Amino acid sequence: MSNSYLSPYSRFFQSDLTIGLRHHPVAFVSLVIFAILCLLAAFAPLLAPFDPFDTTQIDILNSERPPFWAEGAEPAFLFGTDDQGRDMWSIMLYGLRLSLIIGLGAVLVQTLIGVSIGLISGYVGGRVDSLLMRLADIQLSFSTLMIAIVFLALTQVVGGRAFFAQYAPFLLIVIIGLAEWPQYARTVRATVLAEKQKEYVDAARIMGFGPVRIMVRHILPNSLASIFVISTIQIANAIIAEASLSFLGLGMPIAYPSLGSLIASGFDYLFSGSWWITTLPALLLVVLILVVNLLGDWLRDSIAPQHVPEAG
Amino acid sequence: MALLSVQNLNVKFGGPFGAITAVNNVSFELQKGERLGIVGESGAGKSITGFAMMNLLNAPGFIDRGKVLFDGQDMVRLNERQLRKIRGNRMAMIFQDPLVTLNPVLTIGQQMVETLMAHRRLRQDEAEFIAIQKLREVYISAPESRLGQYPHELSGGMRQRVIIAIALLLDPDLIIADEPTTALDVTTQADILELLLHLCMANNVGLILITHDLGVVCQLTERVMVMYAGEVVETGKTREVINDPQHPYTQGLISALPQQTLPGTPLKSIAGYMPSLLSLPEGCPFHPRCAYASPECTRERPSLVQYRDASVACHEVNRLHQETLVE
Amino acid sequence: MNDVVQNRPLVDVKNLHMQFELHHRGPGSLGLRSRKNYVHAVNDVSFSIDQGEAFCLVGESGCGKSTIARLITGLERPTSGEIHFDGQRVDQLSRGEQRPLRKRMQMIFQNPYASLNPRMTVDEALVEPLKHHFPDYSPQDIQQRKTDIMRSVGIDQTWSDRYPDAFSGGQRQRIAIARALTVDPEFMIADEPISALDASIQAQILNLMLEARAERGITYLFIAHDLNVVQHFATRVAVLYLGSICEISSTRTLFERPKHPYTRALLSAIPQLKDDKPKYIRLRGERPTPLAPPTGCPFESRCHFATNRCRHERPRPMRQPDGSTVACHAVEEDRLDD
Repeated sequence: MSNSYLSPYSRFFQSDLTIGLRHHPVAFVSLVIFAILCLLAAFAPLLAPFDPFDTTQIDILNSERPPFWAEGAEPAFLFGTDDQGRDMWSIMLYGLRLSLIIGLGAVLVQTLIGVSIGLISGYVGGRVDSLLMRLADIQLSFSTLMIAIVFLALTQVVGGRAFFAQYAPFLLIVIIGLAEWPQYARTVRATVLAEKQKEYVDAARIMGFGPVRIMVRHILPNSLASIFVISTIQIANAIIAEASLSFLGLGMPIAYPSLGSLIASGFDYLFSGSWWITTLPALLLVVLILVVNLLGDWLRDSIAPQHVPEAG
Repeated sequence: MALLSVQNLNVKFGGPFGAITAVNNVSFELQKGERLGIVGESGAGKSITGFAMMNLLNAPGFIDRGKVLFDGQDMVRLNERQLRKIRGNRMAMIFQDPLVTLNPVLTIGQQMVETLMAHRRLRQDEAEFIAIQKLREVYISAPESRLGQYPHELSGGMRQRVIIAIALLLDPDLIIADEPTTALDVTTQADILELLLHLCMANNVGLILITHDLGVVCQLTERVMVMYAGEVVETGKTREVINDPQHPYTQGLISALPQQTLPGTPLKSIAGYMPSLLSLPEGCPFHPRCAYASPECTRERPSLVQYRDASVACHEVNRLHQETLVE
Repeated sequence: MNDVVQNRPLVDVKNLHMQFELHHRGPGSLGLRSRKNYVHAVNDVSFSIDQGEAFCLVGESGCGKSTIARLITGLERPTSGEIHFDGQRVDQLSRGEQRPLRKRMQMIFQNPYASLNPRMTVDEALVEPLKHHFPDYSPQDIQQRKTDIMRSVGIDQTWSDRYPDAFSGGQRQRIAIARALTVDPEFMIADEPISALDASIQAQILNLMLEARAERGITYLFIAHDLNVVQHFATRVAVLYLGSICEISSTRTLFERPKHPYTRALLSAIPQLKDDKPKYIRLRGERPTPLAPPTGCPFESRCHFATNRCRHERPRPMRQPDGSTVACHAVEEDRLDD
């Protein structure tokens, strides 16, 4: 018996993951960048030199100023201005904030629905399982974008532009969340099926614990690793989905732009010389998605194959 | 010259907390046709010793020090190509789980022919002929039809027979069997043990049997080596070690068996648990669980010394023996 | 040890059958064609366990011994047959109706690496059943009870806040036994509780179970394949082959005078330390698949004494003069050479 056992939490952070990080410089850099992006988004109102939603701070005469390194740059606007004269740096910060909120929010919705359905489907089994999984199949056979396009277009027509602009972030969260729950449900179901075979679940049943207790208290904590891994993939997917919808004009309105709508708004100016309006937010989006995906890869490598010693 | 001579073998595992010694200073010899048992509990280093003899350790494991002389050649120093000539050809290995060892998508015949043709210049029909012959040697009925079967179509005992046949394909000089019957039922185990014994004796093949089961060792081997926490604690003729064990650990292991005590009465268990290789105690690795431990045992690591017919790594072996005599 | 109170049996199993539906996909059919097959896991098994006994089910893998355990605990429902616990029929109860039984009947599993929830500390694992089954206990009562149990099974107090992966197999099995003892059961099913453990640890766990039997009067249904362990632990033994019982007899009778040809082969196959090992009786052929069990005696295809009658007629369990029950035509006809 060794005495060198740390508490499980400190072990979680001190050994496996941190050692993993030390051996994966790519993951480490990704984590740092992701943390910086999250901080930028969280403190956007403090960090942004201008408030892009305050019309008094916007001057149309300042429109299409290039970033600082180009000729004709205005020192006040670090990364130039867009076609309406808004400071690029400021709206990018706010755009990043919106993109992240919608991405994380949508994943939260997916997790809630998907994990519950996956748990029930896997644990109860039988007809309930077949029904829920066929539902998931049907849901998956519609592409996320198709559902979102139809639904968002309908809301815009029925509710009007003003209504839409007001509730756009919530609508996007709900729609992207609803459209992608089957990914979670399937993963969680597969994990539950594997965990259900293990004797600790039998032991809990013999103890007389109810199904809800067994699902939530026993099986769910053991499925967290796979939920964690799929979440990173889903966050990236949700941010892309939001950006695509916004690019198509069905997402965030240009008055409250996310990264996607910024890219769209600058698209018309791409060939007239004002390349930065599209390129800079696009670059930010690419970096964001890339670091999330790299982090996801690393997480999957380091926690998915659980190092459980086998008997024998 | 001995067929296999292991000298001061040290195997380590690199890890985040520094290297762990999994096998510590193991030396032994095996003559041609001799059958040696390596006994120990999980974590004793017995399987790792087996893999090290083939130079088959996977990272992070590595041979830190020592020689493994097989027929005069040091397995540790050979390159991958030279090793391949020996592995499977002159030295074969049988594993615990037959389902994992056989490739599930290839037929028995394909796997046997592949092994043969990798080592010898043979035509397909010649290879098949040898394969059938070997299957017959392990008492598989209708071997011709078995060649076309997939592993999952065979029972556990039959699969282990096929694996033994594959191990014998190239007429090796040495078979290393790592818990060959642990996954099998009692009656199947008895069949396989009988078969292994018969084949080794008939073909003068050396056998290194790695197991935790003293009964199996007793039945199959001439000499036995008892390992604990990566070290050899006792080695000698199997019969003598079992009937008259010298090391306190070997004694404990044997007297802990249920058949050594009257039914229904408490068994003589060894107190405590096997130490983790990460935090081995100072001195003799067994001293925290040993009833005879003296201050010397907590300080100094005992080395193997000749005691009667056996070699024992214990400081207290003399005192121990006197006490048992008094009793 | 054998001062058994003779009244009604604690557990009574009558004509138990269990068939599992199997969706078999042939390798040649690309998984498209699916046949319905039934695995006959348990075939007409009857036995009873008296208070205070250590009743043992012995058999090789796939003989249905674990299935019988799962049926008795209510993890599965039998296809047909009856299970009575302390006079009450228990095989058709709903989860709510089973609840009072949970305190009386517990189980220890084979693989201590899977039978503990990896995300629960030792403390949580022991407190959870106490809270669930004794809602009127105060937190002090629960702590007291937990500490008592931990002490009685040899769990160090310092283990409390650790997760199962900090422990070796033997230590985990102690924790699993402690968890089963929290509700103070009178009947314990132990499904190969020591076969995954190291030799020096096996004795510790077996001693612990013997202690629990002596001190708490626990009745055991012990499932094992290691006959040495069975001989040591059991008071009565049932030998299973292919889902049917071959022989039930007291441990001493079984090991001294085994009757059924399968029991004899099984006993002769144990690797022994002694030199005077009985000659191993090699069985012919292979075990038939439980998908299509033979209509006659299940052991007929491998038995050296099989006759035409064995091929067609299923032998019924017959009471023998020495108290054992044997299902074998050859024994019945006195054809076995002793």
